Amino acid sequence: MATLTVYPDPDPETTSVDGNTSHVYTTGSGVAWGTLVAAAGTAAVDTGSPNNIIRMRGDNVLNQFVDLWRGIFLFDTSALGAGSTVDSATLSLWGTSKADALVATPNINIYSSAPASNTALAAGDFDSLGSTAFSTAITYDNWSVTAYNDFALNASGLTNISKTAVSKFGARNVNYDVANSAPPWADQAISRLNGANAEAADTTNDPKLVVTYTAGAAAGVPSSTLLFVGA
Amino acid sequence: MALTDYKFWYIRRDDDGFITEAAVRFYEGDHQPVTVGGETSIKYVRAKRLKKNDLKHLDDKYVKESSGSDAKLYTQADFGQIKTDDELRAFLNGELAKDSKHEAIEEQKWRP
Repeated sequence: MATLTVYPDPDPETTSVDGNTSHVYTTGSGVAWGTLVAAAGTAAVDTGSPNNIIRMRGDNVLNQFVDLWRGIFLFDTSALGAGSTVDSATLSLWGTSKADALVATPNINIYSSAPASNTALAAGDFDSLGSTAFSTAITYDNWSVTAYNDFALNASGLTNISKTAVSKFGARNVNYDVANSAPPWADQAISRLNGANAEAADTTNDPKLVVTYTAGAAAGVPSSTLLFVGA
Repeated sequence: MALTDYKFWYIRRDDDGFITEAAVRFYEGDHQPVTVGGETSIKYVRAKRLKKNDLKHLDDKYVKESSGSDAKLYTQADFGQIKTDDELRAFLNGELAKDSKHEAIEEQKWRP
């Protein structure tokens, strides 16, 4: 079957941003985990690489937490065309590092996202991610820091792919963030999964969405290459 | 001389895995100090996306992104019958080398 491999564009973006959003408190001003999960967001990064895709951090106060991070990945999938049929898809993130000082073994999965802009992330995008899993979670142990981590999209994930515009995905920790269940606490300890984004030089590690599809009547042929012959 | 690089928008493959189209974004940038996690290093930072007027040394085949931006379109008429991303990168490094006003970043220098 035909495939379309799509990438976000790097800063300065024109179509489809990637990066992360977070809600961060200063040390000593942490909150209960549930408050952090429901927070509105205080920061966003769409220029740096590699990034925290997901991260959580304990405060210096027992059972309080000071930050939670979520990743956002947009792909302009309009080249599929309205008449095409999406058969399967895999979203892949290149891992760069990981740490688990909380001893929480955080896992990660793909969800919807709805940032206010397609070309820049804002703090307020933190609470725009969905909670319906789009794939099978990847465990902390299985998160590769030297290769792509592949999320084969399920039916919900496939319906999130736009055939005419930008497809908006996000990444969240599953066992504590989505579950709204406090991770183990440790004084100012950080657990995180990091990955490359589209800012990196070269094209070998960028986030990517590989869509296997069946072309529609005119899909797959860009308008710029169509030949029109007069009657 | 300012630096330049390219990024993929999309790569389309046929049923047999051959690349049939590649839509590519070109950029201009420079080396700048970048601080990540408290450590500062010199990295390539993009300043702007190059537009049609900046890419007159290439042929005039483009495809519209959903935002209306023009991405440079390459087909098998340009790169021949290839299957791998590395083969496509080798071809595009050659395209980057045609730019007399910019120097390709180290990772994308053309090496014949």
